[in-house]
Amino acid sequence: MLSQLRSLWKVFQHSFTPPDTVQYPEQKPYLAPRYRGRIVLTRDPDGEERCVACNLCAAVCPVDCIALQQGLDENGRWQAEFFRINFSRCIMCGLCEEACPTYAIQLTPDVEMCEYDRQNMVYEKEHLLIAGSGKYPDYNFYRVAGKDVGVKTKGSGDNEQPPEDYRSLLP
Amino acid sequence: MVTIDVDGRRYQVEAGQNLLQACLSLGLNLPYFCWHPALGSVGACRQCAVTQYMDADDNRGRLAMACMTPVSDGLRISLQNDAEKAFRSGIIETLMSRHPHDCPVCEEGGDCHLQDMTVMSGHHRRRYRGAKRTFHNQQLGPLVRHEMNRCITCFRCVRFYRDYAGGHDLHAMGSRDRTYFGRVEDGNLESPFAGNLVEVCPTGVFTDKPHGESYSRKWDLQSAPAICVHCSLGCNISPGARYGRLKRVQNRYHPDINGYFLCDRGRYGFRFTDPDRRLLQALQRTEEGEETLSTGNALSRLWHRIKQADQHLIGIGSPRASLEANFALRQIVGAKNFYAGVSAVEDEMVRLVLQLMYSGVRSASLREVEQADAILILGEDLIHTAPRMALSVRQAVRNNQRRQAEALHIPLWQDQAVRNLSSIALSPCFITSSYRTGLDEVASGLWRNSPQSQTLVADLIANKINEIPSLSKTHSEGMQTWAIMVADALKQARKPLIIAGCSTQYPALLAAAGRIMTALKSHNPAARSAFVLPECNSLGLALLTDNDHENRLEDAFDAAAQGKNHLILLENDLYQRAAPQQVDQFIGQLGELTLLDYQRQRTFSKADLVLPVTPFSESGGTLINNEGRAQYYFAAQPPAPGTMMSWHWLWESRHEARPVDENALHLLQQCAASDPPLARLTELLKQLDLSTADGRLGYMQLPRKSQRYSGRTAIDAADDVREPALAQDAQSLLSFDMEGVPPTQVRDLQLSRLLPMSWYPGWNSGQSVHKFMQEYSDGRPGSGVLMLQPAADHESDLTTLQPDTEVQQTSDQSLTLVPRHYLFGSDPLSMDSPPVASLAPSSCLMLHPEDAQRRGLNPHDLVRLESSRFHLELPIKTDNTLAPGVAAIPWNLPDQPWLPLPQQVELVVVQRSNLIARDGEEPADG
Ligand code: SF4
Ligand code: SF4
Ligand code: SF4
Ligand code: SF4
Ligand code: FES
Repeated sequence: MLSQLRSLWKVFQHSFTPPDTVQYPEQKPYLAPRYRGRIVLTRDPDGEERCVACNLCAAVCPVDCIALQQGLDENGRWQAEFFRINFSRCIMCGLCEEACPTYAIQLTPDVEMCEYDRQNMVYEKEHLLIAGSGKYPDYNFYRVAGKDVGVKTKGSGDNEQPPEDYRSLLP
Repeated sequence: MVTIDVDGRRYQVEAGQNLLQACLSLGLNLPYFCWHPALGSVGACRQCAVTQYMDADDNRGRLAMACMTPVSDGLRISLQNDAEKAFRSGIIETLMSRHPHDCPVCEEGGDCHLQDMTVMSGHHRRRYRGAKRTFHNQQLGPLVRHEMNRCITCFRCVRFYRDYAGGHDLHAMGSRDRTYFGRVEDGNLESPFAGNLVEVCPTGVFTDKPHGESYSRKWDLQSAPAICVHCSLGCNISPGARYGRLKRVQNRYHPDINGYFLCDRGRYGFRFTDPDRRLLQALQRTEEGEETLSTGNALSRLWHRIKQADQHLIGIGSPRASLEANFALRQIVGAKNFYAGVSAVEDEMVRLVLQLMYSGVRSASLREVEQADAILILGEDLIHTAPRMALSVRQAVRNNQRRQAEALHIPLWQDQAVRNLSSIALSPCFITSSYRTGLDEVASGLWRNSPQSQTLVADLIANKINEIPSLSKTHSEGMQTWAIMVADALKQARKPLIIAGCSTQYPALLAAAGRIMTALKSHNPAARSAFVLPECNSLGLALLTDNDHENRLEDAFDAAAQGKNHLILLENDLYQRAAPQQVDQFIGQLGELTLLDYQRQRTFSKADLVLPVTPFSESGGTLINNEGRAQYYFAAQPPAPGTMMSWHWLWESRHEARPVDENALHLLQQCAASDPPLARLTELLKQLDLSTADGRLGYMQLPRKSQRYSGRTAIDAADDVREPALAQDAQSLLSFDMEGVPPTQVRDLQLSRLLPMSWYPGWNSGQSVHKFMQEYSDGRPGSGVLMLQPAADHESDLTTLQPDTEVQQTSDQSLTLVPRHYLFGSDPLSMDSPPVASLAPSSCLMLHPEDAQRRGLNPHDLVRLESSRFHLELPIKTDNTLAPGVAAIPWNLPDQPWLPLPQQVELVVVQRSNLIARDGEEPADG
């Protein structure tokens, strides 16, 4: 009996607390920079596409809504020939961002993605690619990787020795 | 069988193997790098450490390399104690300390033995802080990409390339941690088996270059158990498809055929299946022009044509089409009106092979080829006509060494120890040919001369073995001694083997080979023969036309002349089968030419109704290989829109509007029932029948997609955001799904050989194949069925086929023109694949330099070949590996007319080359 009265009193008290609801869209709530919303593809500090089409984001995506195809540019750099996200399937889980070894794919705090036509929820690479580097401004995968694709020559990357001379037989 | 004790559990294992192999075959996980089932052990990587105990009381034990330890009864080891685990993770940590940060941009990633072993050993964080070693890469040609930074120095590449496949241009160079695996300088890898490096190398140093240009991860591929269509051996392959096209072809283990390796034509020849290279649209050509047809329209046109033509309908089959497709066409047009789509001489030779097989000459599987201890190869340049067989012959010539090793109690997996017996002579291998063959360097005797001379010497060998009367009385002394030497070697051998085939286009030589086989058979029942046939289903087509009707291609030409002028042509290019004038005349007589094909070949432009069919990657069907083994192949992906399998077009047109409820297996059933030579297809059906398999499968199918196939809800979203229904393959053992029989159950269900691709939890790379090893016996699904049972009443009279004496008379000026086969070039299908086409030779006439000099000819001069049957203009190339008096021409290049060869020709200079050759120097090409 006592507990029921207490509950009623609590409910009654709530009538006077200020509302959390805001007048969206006139008023927008605060979303942290790491909030998980619309996905973008970023560029490295040199302005090149970061995505190396490694397919890890696609593999990890629990709803399989990422499809892409690798291709090569004239320097042998891996790039996505197409990159498609079906946002009508995406659950904004952020696993793709976690899997990405190059920081290319990032989720942004933009959640306003409503469409009347579901087909418009399919984003291609040109819709996903942004001009900047997003949350990780300094990282350039190809400076760390061993491959020479026109970003650095063999042996001049981070933490690399100059190329070996295999013709040498010195001990 | 011996008993070993692993981590306290006792297992029965096969004696004579090494401990690593034994553990793996028991399904235990033991990391390794340098061991390979076909290359043996060298103990180089130290990754396979286990602790070996003296006896039951020993509780300290000592570390031992499993791959170098023979199994013995009572052997007690542990895999899971701290000591060996720490050792193994130490090894992997050092191997990985300077490994590049490449996995995301590495074509090996997801299919990488190094990744798997690293995960298995528990190493996940690099402690090494020093700088990483780097190397420059080399350009190794259009097939294999090189990225040397990733090497772990396991030496598998050179052991395969040099020791196993006999290549010369890949080396281990440098010293200490600079060891470099590559060529002396940039350039195409020369070995026809170079593509296997992609699978042999456990890391991403050697990767599939064409695949790397439009790459998909292994887990994203939809694969199928398929059969290679580029020669007659029927190697088992696993093609992987994504986004509607094949991305790559990898080896699929078959113990009796290809084992662990493929040739480069088979690995890189598949791009003819690319949608942009294929016919995808039904068309009709009329006077007014070309008109594209919908599938429904095309079907009703076909139906109308068949109805109207009635008595005038003929069909021409194809040795590259499946048994089902050929059978369906034969049913439509009637057996009387069904003609073999091969040249007359090819037809004759394939029939001769059949005759030999029926009369009890046992044809050898490639595994049996590897066991032979004396080999005679007649007229075949195996590297170019049956490449995988050449690799088997290379293994066979080492049997002398192996026998010696066994006598010395050296286990055969001790690869380097066995190879150290190099002072032991190779097992005898004799080759007759008109020019240098790829196996000459391992041959103990060569007979390099014209086909006629080869026939005479072959005939003499038969005579020396078993007193079979010889065709000719006059033999030169050289021929006598050579024949005696060969005959003696064959008679002394325990398992002699004769290899012959159709590539010479010279039936008399094949007949002479048959005489040796018959002679040898009565001498030694263990004697085997192996035949090389022209195409992947040559034998199947011959069996389907194996009746008393006149059904050679020439007969079709006659039939057309007599008014049977409505032709249905199945997956065939007539210009590849007969002289152009003859084909033109034939087509001129035709009222209607319906073509079912996928290739834009020469006859395509003449057809007035074209129905686009599916290549092997999108069809299921049966092929019969050179051994007489019928094997079923599955589609890697559903037919491209607008296309259907050949038999499907034909079958559906029979029923006009009614939808087809029959599948390919029903067709096989009918085929088995109506053709006695094909009766054993019922055995194949048993292997494939879902209803008998149901109990085992628990109503599941084998999935063609991996469990981690990605992008399911995005692949087609650009066209329509609603996901399409999954393609169905209801009657088949395989589904186009991701779900079904899990890989962990495949072995228990005995479906290992039908696995679309090799994958097992923890073993992502192709090395997972050992998880699926089981005692294979014929009759298990996927093993194929040997179709030909020798019949007692079949006696073949081979003495009637004599060498062409007319050709034999060589005037001073005339040359014997022979066909020369090329791995990259002589197979029209793979020539539609850019990597293969880029390595093909250009059309030319090859002459011995002396022959050229005698006629005052220089390289690059343009000459006209004049013979009684054709004229042709070609530039000259001199080649001192040709037999004098013989001229050769690349066989079956796509732009070259079909020629009746061998043939006597005279040369007439048309135009002198303006590239003047200086003394002994060949002008550069181009
Ligand atoms: S956020 Fe999650 S669901 Fe969306 S694309 Fe990334 S992995 Fe897939
Ligand atoms: S994980 Fe990153 S780099 Fe790899 S494909 Fe996805 S976005 Fe591109
Ligand atoms: S070889 Fe294997 S481990 Fe090395 S970069 Fe390639 S995928 Fe990664
Ligand atoms: S290149 Fe590959 S196969 Fe050769 S030693 Fe290095 S890792 Fe081993
Ligand atoms: S596999 Fe045993 S040492 Fe390499």
